[in-house]
Amino acid sequence: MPNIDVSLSDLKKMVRPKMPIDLEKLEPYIWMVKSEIDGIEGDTLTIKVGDTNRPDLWCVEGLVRELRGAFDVEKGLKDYKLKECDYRIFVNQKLEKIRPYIACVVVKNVRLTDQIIKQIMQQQDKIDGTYGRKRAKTSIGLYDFDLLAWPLKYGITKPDENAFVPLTFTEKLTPKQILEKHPKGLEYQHLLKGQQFYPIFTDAKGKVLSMPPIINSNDLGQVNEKTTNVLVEVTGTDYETVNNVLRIMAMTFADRGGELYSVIIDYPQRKPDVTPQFATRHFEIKVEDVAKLLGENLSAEDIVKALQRARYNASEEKKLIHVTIPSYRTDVMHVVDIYEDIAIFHGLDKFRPEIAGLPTVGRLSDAEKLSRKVRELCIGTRAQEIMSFVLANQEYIFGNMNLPADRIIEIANPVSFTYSAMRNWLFPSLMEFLSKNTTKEFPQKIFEVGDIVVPNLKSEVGSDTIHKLAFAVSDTNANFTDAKQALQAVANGLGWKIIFVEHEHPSFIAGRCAAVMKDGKQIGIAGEVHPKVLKNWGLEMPTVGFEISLT
Amino acid sequence: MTNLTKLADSLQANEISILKALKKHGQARHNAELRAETNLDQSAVARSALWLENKGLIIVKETKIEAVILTKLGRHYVTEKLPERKLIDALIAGVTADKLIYKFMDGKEFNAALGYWRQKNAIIISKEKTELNDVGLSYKNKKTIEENFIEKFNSVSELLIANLAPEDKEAFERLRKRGLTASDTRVERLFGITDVGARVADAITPEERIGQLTPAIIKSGEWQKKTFRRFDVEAGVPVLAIGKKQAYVRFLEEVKDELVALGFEEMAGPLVESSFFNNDALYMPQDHPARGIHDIYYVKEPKYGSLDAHKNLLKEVKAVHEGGGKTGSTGWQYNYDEKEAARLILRTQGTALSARALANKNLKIPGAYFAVARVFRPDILDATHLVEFNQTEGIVLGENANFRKLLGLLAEFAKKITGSDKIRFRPHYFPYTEPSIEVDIWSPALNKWVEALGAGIFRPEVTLPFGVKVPVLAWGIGVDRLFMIRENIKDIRQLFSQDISWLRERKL
Repeated sequence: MPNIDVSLSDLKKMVRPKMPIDLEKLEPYIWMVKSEIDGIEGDTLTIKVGDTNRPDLWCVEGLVRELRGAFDVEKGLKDYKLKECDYRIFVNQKLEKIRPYIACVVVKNVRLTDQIIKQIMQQQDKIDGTYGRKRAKTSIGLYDFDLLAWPLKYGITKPDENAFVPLTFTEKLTPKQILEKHPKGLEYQHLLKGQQFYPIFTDAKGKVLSMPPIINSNDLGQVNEKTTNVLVEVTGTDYETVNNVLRIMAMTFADRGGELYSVIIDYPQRKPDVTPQFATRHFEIKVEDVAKLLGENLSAEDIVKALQRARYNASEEKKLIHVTIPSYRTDVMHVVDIYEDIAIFHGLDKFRPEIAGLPTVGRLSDAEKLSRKVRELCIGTRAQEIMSFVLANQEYIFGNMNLPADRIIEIANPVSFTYSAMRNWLFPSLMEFLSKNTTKEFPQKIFEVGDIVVPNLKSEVGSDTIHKLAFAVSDTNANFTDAKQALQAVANGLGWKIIFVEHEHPSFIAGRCAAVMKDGKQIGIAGEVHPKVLKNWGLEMPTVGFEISLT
Repeated sequence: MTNLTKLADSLQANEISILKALKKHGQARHNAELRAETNLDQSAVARSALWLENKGLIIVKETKIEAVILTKLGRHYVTEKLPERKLIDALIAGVTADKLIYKFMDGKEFNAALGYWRQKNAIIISKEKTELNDVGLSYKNKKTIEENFIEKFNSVSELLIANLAPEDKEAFERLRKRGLTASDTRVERLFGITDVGARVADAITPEERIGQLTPAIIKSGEWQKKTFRRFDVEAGVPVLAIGKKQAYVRFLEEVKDELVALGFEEMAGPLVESSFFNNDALYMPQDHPARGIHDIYYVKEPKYGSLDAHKNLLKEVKAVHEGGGKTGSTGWQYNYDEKEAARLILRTQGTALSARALANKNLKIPGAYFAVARVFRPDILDATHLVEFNQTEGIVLGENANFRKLLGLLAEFAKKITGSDKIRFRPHYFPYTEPSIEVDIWSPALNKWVEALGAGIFRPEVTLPFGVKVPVLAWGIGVDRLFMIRENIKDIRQLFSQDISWLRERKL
């Protein structure tokens, strides 16, 4: 979810120049584009844009486009005029396996203020970062059109050829040096890892515009307040995404008064492309389908009106609505996407919640029913229930418990060692809890009903999640009887027949540990915790307990 | 019954002995004195005195006292004769002084004894012999003041300086110079009776009262002849640590009960999930930004699970992702990777359980399902972030399910689970629902709107691959936040509190 900063005065002026909008009134309209006001400081409004599939909204121009519809200032599809030209870019075939696609537009006669440039940089940054998957899928470059000699070439270079001065530097570096020295080179070098050749964008005189997706040239790849004619380029690995990003950038420039000129992309083994592409799509929706899903009998007129507010073109013909989808609405994949816009732009507050009551019969899971009985019985022994994390680590589970390391489910990308594995038994969680309460009142009697995870290669998820009960008593005179009594009480309460069989387990004192058997199978363990284990946890109080499976 | 008799009736045997002892003596008594007079040990006196003091019957003052004690050497002479007595006895018996030194006493003792009598002018010492004069002989049957003083220690281990007679005081000073006695200064408690105490002491009847009622007393009928000692039922007692449900688990239990009452059936599922059920089946593309290593915990080993049991579903989901399949959608337009689908992760969202429910062959239509699911997210643990937490999510499937009914359901949740009537709906984005909405509830406690629920209707791209052709309403409740608001908890880590006192003190 990108956060974007916009100038409030700029936004208001663009939405409805003739009538002022106060902030309170603005908020519900911001919600209509699935966004929220995240903060305001002076004239800077921070907007959290909620829709990750709508990069067209990640800039003030895009928000304004929608808001003008919502405020009924404008309706229907916004038409972007494109002048056909023969600016041409040749694409090298060897890019097929590196970064195959490019799309460009030439913008002329645009007046770039400092503020507009900042907005465009922010848009570029957000789109590259999120929608462009940190430049892996797409990246944007801007150039001073007046300095370029056409036609351009989107080609390849050897790592030590085509040295140029990258942005913010003063001396020439080869592509290889850029990856090793330039901050952006270091940040994005992984995108070109293992490549024999790197993408390079050059003009007819062989001057370097940029090395996509890493860095622009300091000479050609800069726009400032004096720039009036701009070349916008997008390269990437996904054709549709590249074209969508270019389209959105082109619209931003057009919304700021620029004139758009098309560019011919000359691919080696396919038909040349003309970019940007503003092709619309068409959907037909039935009035009755809208009514069925939304549960409200909207008229064809209501639907058309809502769609036009949402910047679609729409018209009705015999209960069938013809909808034209704006080119930038790549998020519209299914008619339901259109239904949602109808609901939002008709006004959510116009839908009365219908409280109907469900025709179904509710039911707790068997596991929950059992765990409630178990918990009730444990509380009957005056034990305090606790809830702890399933996440733990090798040291808690094995080292501290005086056990040899064994296979457990470990996390490949842990954030900290503390939470780097899933517990395969509950007792360490109780020990950890007790270790945090050594200065508190004793006796301490605690229990937890919770899940543990053990590896199981036969399972479709490589593991079994098992529901367990663990119980511990820590007191000056706690002994095996306390653990056995409590477990016996729980088992009796459940009507379970359990048997205690002498058992050895390194976490417990030999001769004071038993396997807990039910129906001939071991379901758990009970015992007096070994002083070595107590010491590992920093406990000085005798501690006993048990753990049984409830699954 | 007067207050005095009530008080008298409430006294325990030990309290009675102390009060009586103080009454009898009339003056403030020291601890040691009281112990001697009541035959009670130190802790019994202390405990009973505290009760009596709390009832206002006695006053306890702390005073500085000086006591005389014997040194090790001094204690020796409690049973042995003092050197001066040995000397006088020997001389009377006709033993010569020079023999005495070697036979009865060492030189040091002898010199001390000689000095003692010389100072009293009771002895004549010449070159020829040493003998007693009349003064000396008068001590034959008369004890010295030192002897009298030391004898007192036959029955006590110390004497209070303040209580010493002038003669004893003199003896004490002299013996101190000889290293036989010493003084000991300490703070002692002085017990005195109050006016009320004295009157209560008078009101004590001689009969024995029943303290702890025992089976023997009940059986024997002894209780019919005796009265019961009154207990101070207003007095404080030690806190009893009882067993309690963990407060947050208890809240989740309430939520579950509400959901069951509304008609929801509980779902279950594994904590380790395949990316397929956690994401793909919910129409989240495989390169979705929320599927990176910063948002999902990946399992180290085994890396991949098996989707063999879901071959058909996998085929359908793949088709939907790539081009919309049979759903009428454009799909995400990319090459779906079946291997990536089997990648094992720690469940990140409760919605994975809804996907499992839709895949279940026992799925009911109409149906309503819910789960309180433990989920995991890579994060640094702090006051606002947990690495694992609980999500409450569910679905409603039915031919007649629609958006307005979803709003109705959410309004009902808000009322039943958050207790709030004041709610508002906002458009929202979720990858798997369309339309999607978020519900804010008005929190009077915080005096602001709080995000409480998220919901929507599952996209056909989600439901159709499962063969589910009816609309599916999906919702989630921010139970963590609701509980924190209700319990006024500021630090989210307290949901998993490791402080036993905090857990014990929670109100239900």
